[in-house]
Amino acid sequence: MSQSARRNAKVPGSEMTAMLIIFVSTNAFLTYPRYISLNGYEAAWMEPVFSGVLTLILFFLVEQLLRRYFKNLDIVEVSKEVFGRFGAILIALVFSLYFLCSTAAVMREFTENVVSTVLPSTPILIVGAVFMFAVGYIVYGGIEGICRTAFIFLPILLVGLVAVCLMTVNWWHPYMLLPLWGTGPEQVLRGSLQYSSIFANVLLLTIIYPHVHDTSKMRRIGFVSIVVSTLLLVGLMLTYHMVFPAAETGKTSFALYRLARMIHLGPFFQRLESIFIFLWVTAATVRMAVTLWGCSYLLGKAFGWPTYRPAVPALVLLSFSLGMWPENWIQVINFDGTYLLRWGWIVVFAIPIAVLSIGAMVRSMRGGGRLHGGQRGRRRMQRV
Amino acid sequence: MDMSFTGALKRLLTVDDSMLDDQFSLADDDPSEPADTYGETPQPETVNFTTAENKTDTSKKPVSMRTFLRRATKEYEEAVEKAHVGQDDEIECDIDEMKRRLERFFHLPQNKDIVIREFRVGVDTKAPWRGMAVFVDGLSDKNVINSAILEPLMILTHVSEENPRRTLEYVVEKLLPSNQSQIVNKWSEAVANILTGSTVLFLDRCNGALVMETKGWEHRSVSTPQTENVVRGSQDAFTENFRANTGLVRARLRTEHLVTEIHSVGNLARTDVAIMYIHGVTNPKLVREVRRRISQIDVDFVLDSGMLEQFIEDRPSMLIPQVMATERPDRVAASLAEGYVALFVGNSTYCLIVPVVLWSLVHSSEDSNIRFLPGTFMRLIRWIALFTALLLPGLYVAVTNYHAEMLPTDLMLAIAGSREQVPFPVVVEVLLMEFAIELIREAGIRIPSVIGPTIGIVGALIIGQSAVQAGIVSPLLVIVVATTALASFTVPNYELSMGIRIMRFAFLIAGAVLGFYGIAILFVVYVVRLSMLKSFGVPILSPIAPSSGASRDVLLRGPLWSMNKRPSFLYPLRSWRQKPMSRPWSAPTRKSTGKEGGET
Repeated sequence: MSQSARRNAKVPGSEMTAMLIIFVSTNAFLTYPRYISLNGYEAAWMEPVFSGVLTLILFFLVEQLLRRYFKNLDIVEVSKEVFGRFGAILIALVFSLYFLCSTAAVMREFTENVVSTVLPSTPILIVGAVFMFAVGYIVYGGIEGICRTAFIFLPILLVGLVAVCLMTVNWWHPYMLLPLWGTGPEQVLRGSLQYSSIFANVLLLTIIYPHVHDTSKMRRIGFVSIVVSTLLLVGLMLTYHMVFPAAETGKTSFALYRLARMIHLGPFFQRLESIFIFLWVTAATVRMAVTLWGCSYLLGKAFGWPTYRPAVPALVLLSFSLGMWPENWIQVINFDGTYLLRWGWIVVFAIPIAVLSIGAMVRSMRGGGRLHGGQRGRRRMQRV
Repeated sequence: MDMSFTGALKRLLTVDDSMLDDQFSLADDDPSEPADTYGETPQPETVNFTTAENKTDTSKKPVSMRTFLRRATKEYEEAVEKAHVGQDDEIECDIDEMKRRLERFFHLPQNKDIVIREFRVGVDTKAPWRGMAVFVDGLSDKNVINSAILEPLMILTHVSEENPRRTLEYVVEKLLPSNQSQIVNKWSEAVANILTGSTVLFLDRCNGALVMETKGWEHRSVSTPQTENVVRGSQDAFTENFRANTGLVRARLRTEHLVTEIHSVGNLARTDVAIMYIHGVTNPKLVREVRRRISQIDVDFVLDSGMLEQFIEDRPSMLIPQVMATERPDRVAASLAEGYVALFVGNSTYCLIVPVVLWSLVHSSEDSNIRFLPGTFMRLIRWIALFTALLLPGLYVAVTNYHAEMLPTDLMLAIAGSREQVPFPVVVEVLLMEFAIELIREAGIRIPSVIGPTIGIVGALIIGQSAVQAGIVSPLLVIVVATTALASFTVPNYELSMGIRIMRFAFLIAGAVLGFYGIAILFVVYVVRLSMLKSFGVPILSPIAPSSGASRDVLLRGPLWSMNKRPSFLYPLRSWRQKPMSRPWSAPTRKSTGKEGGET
């Protein structure tokens, strides 16, 4: 592909939507169900709803700011305008670090899941290395490749999640969803805010905005992706809580696997959890590819690299090493729950909104409020 | 007896290395000596083909890549230039000089394929007018040469006047009844035409040559397809005749907008390459790209479409073909009507269609000829077969090694029971059987047809029954491997089928090492690879990824009357292939469009 073609690489709306849906829905395989179950008990299913609504509002707000003031600019370029080069580097480093830690945590959680469920005799290093190789390979393909892959695998995710929910129908006990408010409205709302960082749509929007084929469809992309992923998470949580009592749901780290193990539709359709590996692998690979791409892309933008690709192998190795650092799974879960999930909202919501708001004010004060940085944005755009 | 004993003893005790001395070696040959020096035959003017670079190339001194490329390019260009030395010149007026040139170009008189027939024009010409007809024995039709060239010029021509118009134009207009003739002025054109089977006429004091169409070599007639058989559809396939092949397509697609451009590829020997497209439908950018890729092929010789394919496709290292090779004229005609470009290569029995998308490799030309429900069913079967051929052995190994719990207990016990006598691990067992199947497949192609039936006996009895009885493989595995083989034969495209055969082993190893996890990871990686792959600028997973909302003729077969538009990924100049309401006579159609009662 020629350089100019790469510079103009744009992702269609459908593929972007698929990527965002998979990015958020992958949390169903991770520790998110455990934490919201601990927090909300029977009302855990409400937390994705509140988080989704909050994300939707913030998404529209950020999209409005970008469209009005920073068309064709990403968060690093906005930061450069507002805080100068060093400020932009600092902000990009914060986001990159978040993405790197997120990649490392997901990698470790995912490989631990695989080792503990289907490959008990295989060394975790091999499982993790193979996984990271695949992720690195996808990242090398760029955001276009990641989103296209997400679009191809989205039907598998949708069918798989719905199948897991429906095939446990003979274990459903709807009365286990009562009392409706679980630990109480206040606790549920607090949990919704705390764990809303799984909806990284807002942060991703500020990064991928220049790469969307048709930015006028961004609202639609955001709406569909947030609503669909919220529905999937809600469906999964409802099913999970109808199958297992609330007190038990907070004790397991792999809700989907427990559900899949329960499937028993006669002697020929039982113990199908192994089949769902295809689901976990595809979704987790796409999610980690997004975070790793975000990390390398932001670093590249901040430091003015002509392309981010040479950094990919180093970042793959770094995230793999970080992921393997903790001695055991429990440490990873605690780290994820304590820092990434609980305080992640600062990175995924607060900082991008703050940067964009300050940027908008600065532009308004300079009098060039509605001018957009299209030309400069295009000039600075990396090869994606 | 005594002598023979002594001789034998002597031979035993002495070292005789004369055999080694007698061995022929190209390395010791003197390259300056021409290849055609023999006897007392007079030698034509020769060109020394050994360049200085070639002589010094034997040194193993490492050079930089840039130097290597520069040197190799220069060497190649020099060699090409020397091979055609003098051919860029204009044709002379003097017939003796013409003959000398021809002798040098064609290495006469050693080269017996080239015939130079010298004659005099007219029966009673006062001033002799010498001429010669040059053609390749075996490529040209001798009857045409005799009756349409030599006879009119030598017997039927009466040049009675003293000073007739001795020009080629006069010969074309008045003397020769050839249906296709062309005057050329350069030696390169004359030589190229002689080599394609035309007869080239040289006349004294005419600075040009007359090319007459006399192609007529032996070739196979049009017969049934060998690899793309169908039940419903035409039963003819391309043959080894370039013009017959283009004619087969044109006979189906009778439009004046069907354009056939002919180019030549090859520096040592030229091969005709025809680019066929429909003007006004096919995107001109696509045609330009095809033309550009073909014109930039700088090789000595391209024998077949399979070779050309590797020079023009985007990523020849991929297992998935990025060019569709077909031997069916109806498929080519249908593709051209959609907006694709077709390529015919020399005497190849396969035509190339570009660009290609993965889904069309699973389509068959029969699909359009049957109604959409059976067509959809057949496509579904093919898709299932494709995934079976790709994944079944790997899944079997993964299930038996890592995921036995997902099998129903009875089935698991049956598998365990059948494997009780087998000493190998499952993966070794599968590899053995797969290897045997690959052997049968390859032997089935290479085996002489008279002993062909033995392959069935060997395959069925030895590989199947005997291997099970000997306890080398389990009966269930034979079923798995046989199903896989059967499924791979269902894939309509041979190149895709080959790719799947090879990829199957990768999935087998992945399944053996990491179970479903390994298979899933490999699958994801390969899909990513495919999603980034393009064929002539078109993503190979189009129109699904990227989604372009194209017709329903992708995974399944949509109704013909509802597939109104051409594939959007081709960006055709005419996107509508039919009216939105293509069955206006039908009552349900009229009802659905609200036109019921509008006309009676």
